[in-house]
Parts: sequence; C-alpha cells; structure tokens
Amino acid sequence: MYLTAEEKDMLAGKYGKGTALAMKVLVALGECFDAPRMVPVSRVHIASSKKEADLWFVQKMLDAGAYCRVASTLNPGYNPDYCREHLATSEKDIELLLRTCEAYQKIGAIPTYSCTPYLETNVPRFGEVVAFSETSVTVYVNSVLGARTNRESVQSSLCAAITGRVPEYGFLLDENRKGNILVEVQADIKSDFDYQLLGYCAKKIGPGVPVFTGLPTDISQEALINLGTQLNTAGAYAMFHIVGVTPEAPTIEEAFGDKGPQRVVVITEADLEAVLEEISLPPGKIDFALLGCPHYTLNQIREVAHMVAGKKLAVEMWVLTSTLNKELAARMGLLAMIEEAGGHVLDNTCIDQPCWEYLAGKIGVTDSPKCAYYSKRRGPDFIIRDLRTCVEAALKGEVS
Amino acid sequence: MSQASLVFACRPIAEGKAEGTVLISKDEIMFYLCDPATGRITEKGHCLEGRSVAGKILVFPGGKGSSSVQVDGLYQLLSRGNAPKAMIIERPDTILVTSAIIMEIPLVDRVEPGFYEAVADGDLACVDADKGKITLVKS
Repeated sequence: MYLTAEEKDMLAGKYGKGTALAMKVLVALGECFDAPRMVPVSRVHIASSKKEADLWFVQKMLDAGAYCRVASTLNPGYNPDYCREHLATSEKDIELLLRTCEAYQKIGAIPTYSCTPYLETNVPRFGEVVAFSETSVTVYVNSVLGARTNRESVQSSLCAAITGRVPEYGFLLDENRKGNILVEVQADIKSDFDYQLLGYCAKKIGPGVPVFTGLPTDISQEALINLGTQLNTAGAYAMFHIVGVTPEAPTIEEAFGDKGPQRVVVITEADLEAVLEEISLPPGKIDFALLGCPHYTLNQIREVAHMVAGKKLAVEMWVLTSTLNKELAARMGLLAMIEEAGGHVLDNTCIDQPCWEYLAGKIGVTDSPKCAYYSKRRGPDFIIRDLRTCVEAALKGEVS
Repeated sequence: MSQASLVFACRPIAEGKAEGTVLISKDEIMFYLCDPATGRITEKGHCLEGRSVAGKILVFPGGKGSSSVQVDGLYQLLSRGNAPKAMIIERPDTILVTSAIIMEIPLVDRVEPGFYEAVADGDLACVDADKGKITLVKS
C-alpha cells in the first residue's frame, strides 16, 4: 500500500518504537484488506475493557514510548469505590482496573468511561472518517450518524489514536456502505424492546449490510441503539440502513446502490418470539435487575425514575449510565427518586466486568440481550423483557 | 508427512507456521465464550459447544462479537496455552486480524478452491503463513 513520507517515517521508527509498532499493525491490516493508502482520523473511541489483554497491549505501547496524537474517548470499566464497598469486588480485580486506567491516562486518552460516546462527548459529523471500536458504537456512528468507521478492535483503534491514521478500506469506502440484504419486517414493531429482538435475528439475516423495510419512521434514538447493539452481538455488523430513517437510505434505491439486494429475508412475529424464547429464561422469581447495556440515555433513566418514585424495590436494581447523564439525572431529581426506592445509578460501569461476579448463580432481569449474553460467563442468568416489565419485576421480585 | 498429502495455496494475514489437528466450525466463533482453562466452546447452541479449540488448526468462517471481549478471549486462551495453533478463515475482520498479529497466531484466508471439500475434522494440517500454503493429510 502507498504510504506518505511521514507514514514511512512512523513505520521506520523515527517517531519512536510505539508509533512504529502501531503503524506496523495498521499496515498489516491495510495489506489484508487491500487498502490503497492511509487516511487521517479526527476522532477515536477505544472499547477499553480493563481486561488483561487490554492492559497488556496498552502497557506494551506505553513502554515503547507511544502517545495518542488523537485523544481517544474510552469505554467503561467499573466504579471502584462503589464496587469495593457494595459488590465485594476483589482488590486484585480493582488493581487491574486502576493500572489499566492509569496506562490509558498516560498514553493520552480521555477517561470518559462511557459506551455511548456518540450521544455526548465524541460525536462525529456525517461523512467524517473516525476509528471507533465497541459493539454498539461502531454500528451507531456508521448507520445513524453517517460517519465512517470500520469495526475497529481495541488494539487497532489504539493504533489509530497513536498514529492519527487508518488504512482506507471497508466501511470508509462508498461502495461497501451500500446494503446487500433486504430485510422485510412483517412483525409489528411497537416498542424499543422489539428492536432488541429484531437485532438478535442476526442469524437469520446473515452476514452483510441489512436494509430494513416495514419499520415505523418515528423510531426513537434508543430503538436505533438497540437494533445496532443486538445485531452486532448476535453477529458481526458494521452498518445497517432503515429506509426513510437513516441518512444513507433516503430511498430503497439509494440504500442498495446499483447492485440491489443479494438476498431477501422476512422477519415475522414468530421470529421475534422464537428469539426471545431462545435467549431468555422463562418467567419467575428474580434476585436483581441490571439495566443500561449500552448505557442508559436520560430518557430511559427518566422512565425508570418515574416508575419507582415513592415505591420500594423488592430486589437490587442497577441502572448504568454515563457520568454526564448521572449528573443531569441528579439535577433533574431523577437520581433521588431511584435511590429513595432503593435503586442504584452507577456511572463508569459496564455489565461485563468482574464486579458482577458475586451475582453468580442468581437470576436477574434485563432489557438487553447483550447484557445477558456477556454476563453469563460470570455466572448469573437472565430473564429478558422490556424496560417497563424489568422495573415492575424489580418492584415485585418476579416476572409474571 | 508419509501419507498422501494435499497442498493448497492461501493468503497469509498473520505470519508464522503451525501444525496440528483440524477442527471445523460452520458457525462464527467468539473466543470469549470459550473456557480459558480447557479451550472448550461454552456458547449455547454453537455447533462446537463443548469442543476444545486448544492446539487445533481451526477452520471457521470468521469472528463475531464485541472487540474487547473477542481479543481478551483469545488472550486468555493464549496465556494458558489453549489458543488455536493457527486459524483458517473465510471472512477476515479487523478484530480477528489485529488479535492474530499482536498475539502471533498464524492466520490465513483465501484458500484455493477444493480445500473446503477436502478438509474434515481430525485431519492433520500444516499452515505455513510465511509461504502461503496449507498442507493437509487426511485422517
């Protein structure tokens, strides 16, 4: 692939060993995907997980003298003070978290610890080339904002932040952003939760860029987040289109471009029911409720708060969100409503962290299939329902 | 290799050379849903549920899932000696490619036609990503 003089210097080590290693990874990616050249990136989001592999690689880069040219936002880990006190999180786990956070701080990242940067702190404009990693983030910025990113890994996005470059391939190019699967939704899509199940039909939809028809045009931001998140949990998707809703699909012709659909998939009510049946435990008693995967928006926090205001929760309930949303929820009086009912609003925290291991063997309720999918490795199992049913269950102690 | 062997050209993605027993998955793989201690796939409903990827020449369509968990899954397997020895895929994705490069696991794609008809679980395979070839010995 073609490299500019500066990029060649980066690769040759003139900017230090760390930059050279970052460029080596990006060039290998570029060669793999037949990229003709590198292009500058203006924004980066790193899905830093605070897992061992995460620390291993960022530390390796830091030790090699790397520093971010583009200050990247970061995914959540967990809130160490809260988890130490309330969730019996081990000091060993907390040490890994703190060491990882310190390494990212030293390398020049922005400690946002939010998995919805596209809503508040790192919002690309239409057509902007960026390097975003994370299940919900990549698909949202491509599909809903019309920015351009590949489905970066934690490591490739860190390399992009260090060099300020990405190889030009995949979803950076016009031709690859066109749809190739027509998904005719015949199911009656009524709520934000139905988009979770629609996204989880990924196995039936198959690999590619789906173009959805048959959906309402007044789709909420939360529904769009849900659809992308679950598509990318049940399969590997960088982008989707909804005709008449998402910016690169004003018409079905523009969504597909010249080639048209390679495949037509019909999603019926029965498909959504089958997905829910497959991934959720049957109704019954619950021990806790875990909401906010991805991080809840202010609208969702508001809905939870108004449902529990003046009542007492029967089981533990956690609502995960960004620091900004938690602060705004406090200013709006919503935080007090949730806390007075016995619930917790946690910022900086992800469902897939060791702080939740103490829930092993317990049954929870969540509105996110992604939450259930990733948490299972840590022991708890889930009944999956819509937000309102989850909150009602947390008030009663069971899903009826 | 004493038995009749078949040789297929492929495209190297992550450098290196490895030999081992073939394990084929028709489903995409999420390495996070493997038990790091045994290499066994734990994902419910996966076609290889309960089978171990440890030390295998893994033939599969591609990766899936969130980047941070996919890379950590592979790292956890690797740090316990239970990663696949090499990976032969059809659809490379950024996450799997970066993981293979930085963890130094040979990764190839674009295997010449005929490989997928010939290969079966339990065959012995040598993946030479430096030379861009796969040698297969039928079991």
